[in-house]
Amino acid sequence: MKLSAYIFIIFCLVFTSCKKDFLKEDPRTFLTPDNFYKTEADLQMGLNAVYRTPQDRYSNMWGAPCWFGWATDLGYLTPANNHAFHNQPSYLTPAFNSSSDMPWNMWDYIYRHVKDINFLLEALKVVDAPDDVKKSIEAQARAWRAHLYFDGVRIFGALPLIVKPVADLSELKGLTRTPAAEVYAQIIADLQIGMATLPNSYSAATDKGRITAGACAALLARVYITMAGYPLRQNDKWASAQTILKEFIVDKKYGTQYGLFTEYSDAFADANIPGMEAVWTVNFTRGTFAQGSQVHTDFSPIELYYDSRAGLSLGGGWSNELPTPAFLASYDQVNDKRYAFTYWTSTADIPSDYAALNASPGGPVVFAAPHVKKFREKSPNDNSQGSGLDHYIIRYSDVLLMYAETLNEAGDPTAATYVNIVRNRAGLGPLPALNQQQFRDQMLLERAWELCFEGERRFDLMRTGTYYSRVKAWNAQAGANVVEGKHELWPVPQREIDINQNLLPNNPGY
Amino acid sequence: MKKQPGAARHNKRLRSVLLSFLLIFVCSAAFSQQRLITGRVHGHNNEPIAGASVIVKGTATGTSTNANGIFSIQALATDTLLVTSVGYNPSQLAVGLQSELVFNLAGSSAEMSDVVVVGYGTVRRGDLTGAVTQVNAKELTKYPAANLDQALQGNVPGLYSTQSDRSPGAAVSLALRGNNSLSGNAPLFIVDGFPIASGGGVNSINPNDIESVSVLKDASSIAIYGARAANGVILITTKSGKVGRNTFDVNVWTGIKSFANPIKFMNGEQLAALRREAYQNDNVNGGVAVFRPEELASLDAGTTTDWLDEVTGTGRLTQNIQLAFTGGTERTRILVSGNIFNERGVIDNSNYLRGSLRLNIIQKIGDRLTLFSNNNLSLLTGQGVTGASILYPSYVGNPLAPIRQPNGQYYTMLIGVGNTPWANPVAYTQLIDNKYVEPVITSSLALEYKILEGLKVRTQLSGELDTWKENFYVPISLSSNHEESGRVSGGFARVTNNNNYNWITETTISYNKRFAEKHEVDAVAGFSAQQNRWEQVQASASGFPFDLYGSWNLAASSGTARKPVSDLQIWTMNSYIGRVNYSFNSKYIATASFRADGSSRFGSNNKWGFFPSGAIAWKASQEEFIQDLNAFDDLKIRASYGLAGNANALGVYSTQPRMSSASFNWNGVEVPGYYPSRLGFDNLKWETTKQFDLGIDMAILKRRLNITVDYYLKNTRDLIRQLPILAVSGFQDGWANLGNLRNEGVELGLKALVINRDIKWNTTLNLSTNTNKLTSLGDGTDKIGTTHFVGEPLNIGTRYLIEKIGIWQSHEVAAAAQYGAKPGDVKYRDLNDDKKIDNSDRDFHGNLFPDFYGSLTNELAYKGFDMSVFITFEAGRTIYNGLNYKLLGGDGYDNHRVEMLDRWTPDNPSNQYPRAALGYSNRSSMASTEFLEKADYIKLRSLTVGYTFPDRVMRKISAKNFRVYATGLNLFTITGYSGMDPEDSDLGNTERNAPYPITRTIIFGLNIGF
Repeated sequence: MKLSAYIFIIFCLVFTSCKKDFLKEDPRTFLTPDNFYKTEADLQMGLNAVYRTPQDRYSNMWGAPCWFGWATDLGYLTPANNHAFHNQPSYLTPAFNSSSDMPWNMWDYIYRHVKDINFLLEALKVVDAPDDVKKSIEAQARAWRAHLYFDGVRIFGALPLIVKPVADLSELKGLTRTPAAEVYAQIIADLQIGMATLPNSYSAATDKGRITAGACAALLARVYITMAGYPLRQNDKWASAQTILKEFIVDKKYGTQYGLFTEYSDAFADANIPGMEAVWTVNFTRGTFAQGSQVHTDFSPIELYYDSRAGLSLGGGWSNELPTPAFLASYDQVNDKRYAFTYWTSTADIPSDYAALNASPGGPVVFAAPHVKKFREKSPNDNSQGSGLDHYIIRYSDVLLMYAETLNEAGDPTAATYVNIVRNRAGLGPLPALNQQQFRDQMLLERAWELCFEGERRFDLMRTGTYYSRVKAWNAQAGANVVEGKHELWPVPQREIDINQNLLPNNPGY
Repeated sequence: MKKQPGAARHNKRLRSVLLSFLLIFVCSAAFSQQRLITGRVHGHNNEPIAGASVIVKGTATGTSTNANGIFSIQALATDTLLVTSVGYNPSQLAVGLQSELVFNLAGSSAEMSDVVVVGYGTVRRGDLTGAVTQVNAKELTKYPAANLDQALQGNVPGLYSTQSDRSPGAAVSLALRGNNSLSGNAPLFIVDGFPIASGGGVNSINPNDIESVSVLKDASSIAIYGARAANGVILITTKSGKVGRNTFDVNVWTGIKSFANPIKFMNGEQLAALRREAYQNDNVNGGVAVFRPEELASLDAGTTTDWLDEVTGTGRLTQNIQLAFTGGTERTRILVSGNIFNERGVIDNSNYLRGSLRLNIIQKIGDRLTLFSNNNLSLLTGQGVTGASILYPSYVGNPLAPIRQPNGQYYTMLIGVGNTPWANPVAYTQLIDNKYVEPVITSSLALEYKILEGLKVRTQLSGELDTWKENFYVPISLSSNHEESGRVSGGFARVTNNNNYNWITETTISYNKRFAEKHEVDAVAGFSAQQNRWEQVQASASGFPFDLYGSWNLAASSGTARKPVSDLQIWTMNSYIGRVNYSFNSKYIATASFRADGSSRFGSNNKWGFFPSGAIAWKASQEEFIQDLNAFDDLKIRASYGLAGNANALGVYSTQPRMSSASFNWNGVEVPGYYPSRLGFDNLKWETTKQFDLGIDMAILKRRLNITVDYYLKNTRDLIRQLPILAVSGFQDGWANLGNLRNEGVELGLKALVINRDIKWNTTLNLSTNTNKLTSLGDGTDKIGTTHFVGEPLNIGTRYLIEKIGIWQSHEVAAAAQYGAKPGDVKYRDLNDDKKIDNSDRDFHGNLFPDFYGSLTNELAYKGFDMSVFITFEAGRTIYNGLNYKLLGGDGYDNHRVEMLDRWTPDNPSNQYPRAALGYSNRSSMASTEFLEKADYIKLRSLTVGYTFPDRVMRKISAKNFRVYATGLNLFTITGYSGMDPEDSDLGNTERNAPYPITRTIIFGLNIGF
């Protein structure tokens, strides 16, 4: 019986050994919103994530610049690419529809990021932190939200406007698309907060690249000239834009630091960004995995990738966006310094660094078409690392060109002055005398030469109402399929309509 | 503890046998001066009974019969021999002066008296109220399997298995009685009372160590495993020593593989012709096809590369060596076994090795206490293949692409025009090092204490340690093109270490008593607590000066530092169980059981689930009016109903909201960033399956025909669904318990002794059907994305397709043009007649699940010869073979099947294969029925011919059993499926994956038992 007593003790020990919270989960590998957002540091970390996300948009995923260069007058997709994902938005065949990946990816990107911002803004209300800190965080976060909705409204037209964290999913049941004008109102409000709250510049070196009052002002000017154009055609917004741009350029209201580098190429040297030409940039860091930009791989030659058998490490890429022959022909190829800087037109342009490649067993590398090399960080460029070249969302030359546009719309003859600043730097002479319409047409070219492949072209064509005609005339690839009144907008993703039929009707033609 | 003389005597024998174990094959046990008695044991049909236990009564001296029912034993003339065997009544004879004894064992209601292992106990087969299929060791080893799930294939009615991954050691997908859940159908595996949590735990078991496998199917059998049992429970019992029997078994076999590719590819010349035609048809590049210099060189030289042939080899060996010793006295019973299983795959450098050592001990301590300990140490190791960079390019690789550059080095990417080049599969199989090692230890210790006759308390503590480690290295020559590792230069090395610690403590009290002759009660109650802890550490690096280090010196990298990864996941469960079994007059039997499960996985508002069940059985053959019919030797009707849950559909921590990290590099200073990445779900709980089962077991024709039929109806509610959330919320998906689905089916198990003379012929037929239907989604919606549709079987979205109705012919130019097509293009059904082929023209086509499936086993024995023919079959399932989208694409860029030689041309108005075209312009890019194929098949899974040597030969080598055999695996498959094997799984049109080749294996084996 002694033994059975032992057994009984074991039995009892086992039976009672479980703690009361035995079944409670205590995850150690992630934070929950319950234990986050407690301190000022937590708010800053929330803001850091808000700055991180646009790296996705301006690298080569989720809205890469080439997405908005395809099916424009400037860019087309290499025929060597057979991914439906890329082919649909560049060829604009009927296969580009609401089930296509790219509209969904862009939509998802926008709202994922809006959600981060909305959670952060909500946390600002409850976390105890100095008022000025909270105001600055709020203004920066709202500026990014404005940027996102500006993307959204230009790509999709009317779209749901969400400005609070979604706590209860049932709130979304009756959700409809918010008219574009209301979305613009929110964008304007968010940017005005930034213009009023944020400094013109930051003193700490590590804060370089943060959103400034000037960044918000320049984006608001872009918003206004967009509203003045197709499809809203709110003519009064030309004047609103002009006011801001005058304050920016002439009155130096947002600081004296802005200007153009002597050479166009200097604007794209890693050490110079963010610098005098940077109004709003996305920060990238070379070498840090996932923090480096892949934007250049969209433009780098696939021939270097495969022919050289060197992959990305010697500068190969995917040739995803190539310049259209019509656009290349539009340059003053002799005098415009931007031409030589922007393109590799043939193998002969390959720098001597690549001599070894040409001697490789596969024979010399031959390009099927000219390539864009504007975003190459250095030469030879080890593209496998991700480049540290920050991407311009707004460059000072864009501010100058926008101002010229607003002046031309107001019939102000000084408009050419601001274009000539940009032309002069590029090695071109001043503009000849142009009437208002000629000036408008010329601006399309001027903006293309200066800002090509930086990601704005599609929107320039759209707001100027020239999308259909330019694509038809300049881009053989998309021109064959482009439909007027349809392709100006992308479709609302089918996935979202499947969940919520209230998002119907989709955009015209889809 | 007082030593008993008998035990001492036996222990001496035990030691000597152990010694012989060590000296391998030197089997000369030292016997005393007694007389050698030989004998034969047979059943009522004069069939020899192998493995019957023969004991000298009153001593621990014992032996067992060989395969021919023969034994020999030392005994005195005054001794009495006692013979026992499961399923037969014991028999005893006095030795006397006879030198040969013949035992004729009466079948004690034969099969029906077997003991069946059920949850937390055993039950006489006749008293079983639930639907349980027990697979014994002999059935498990008829197919030389790498692991248990392979061994179970085809052996259990209601257990549907497909082996779409045929790489060495790969797991088989198992689904018991249909698909119960949107999130996985893996049954719960319990090894010697221990719910094994990790995959390695089941794979680590040597199938030869298994005594029996009980597959629990109906609610009354599974409910006692509660929240994890809805997908069925597989109870594994490993072997143990038998009282009075020492055995030493050696089992060695070697298999030789061969590979005959059922898919025929074009050669370079044929592909070039296709490409030229494609350029011409689409008038691209002025109609002149583009070739790369290397391709032209291949064409000039007339060389062609068969990539699948280049990465495969025949004559690869699979070897198995197994040694097992069992011994037992009244007080101590042990099993010691060792096994090495080594399989080399038909694809170069794919292999799998399992080494295992097992020690099982049952020791009586005193009169009331018994100790049980089961211990297994296994080492699993192998190298797999990757779908994207090895299998896929092996199928679609351009036959004009050379393997090596002129300088002798491999091309890292396949040379080709127009398409994204694929990895060179030869380089990838030869150069990439990708090995894992997985030591698995499972060990348990149980104490059972008999308080009173029939009343026992048992406490068991079990632990499992499963360590998986992978060393992965991509050499410098490949790394800058190696997609999976991020195209880094200077080689890429990665080391991953996963540790899984799983323990459970379980205490049960059981009571068994017969009252007043007619009433028998069997009850059990208990408590258990389990915790599983999974940890991961992973580190990787790139930028190595040379390849020598491989992944063994990460610090030697000069590349940019990559962040190491670590992870931890813990889940816990608390459970209370209870069951009462009551039998009246051995005629009417009722069982009631329940389990309460608390799980850490459940949302904080729903921590405990309750799972009751009940069953009744009526042994009609015990009724006089049935006996008077003289038709049934056994007849039992049983019915059960109950609940079981599926907690594993909920991932660990999946109810928790979370923030994710997005650190940001601010001008060279990395700062932490966090954003909300998932919502929390406090109400999430298990899925519940209600199951009704009605079954009949019968034995007729003097027990020569045994039939088991079961009908079941399972309704699963509270499906754990990952609901797509409107992305406008910022979250893509969330979780909810919403939706119901139903599985309904019939299972038939039939065992017949067809001929019972000198020649014996046994037939086993398993036949199952199951229909699966999503009955509701609970929120008024009628589909989940385009994957699941209410009223249809799960995952029917993969069968929601545009119908191909032919090829546009030359006279249909105008009609084709309406669809933007031209003659030679695939013609689709325009369901809504809007002159557009798009997603709105989709409809349901073909089944995902078979209408029926099963197996047929025929076993023949004649004198020493035996033969077993094991056939599996199924009908009604379809496979979406999207690989053909590529292989029948028509551009002549990547490889094509020879069927495209019969492509459409104006002169060859095929309705099957479209014209040559670039950029898939001969097809709409959407998924269509063109690639949906019937997967009906009949497969000769194994054919074995064996010979057991006669007694005189065995005696010469002192063996009890000596058998040689040859087995052929996958000797033939009858199917209309055009892919690799009809067990393949679906592949999407552009999915970069392809099936592992199916091989034929010829095995030669040898069993010797001493």
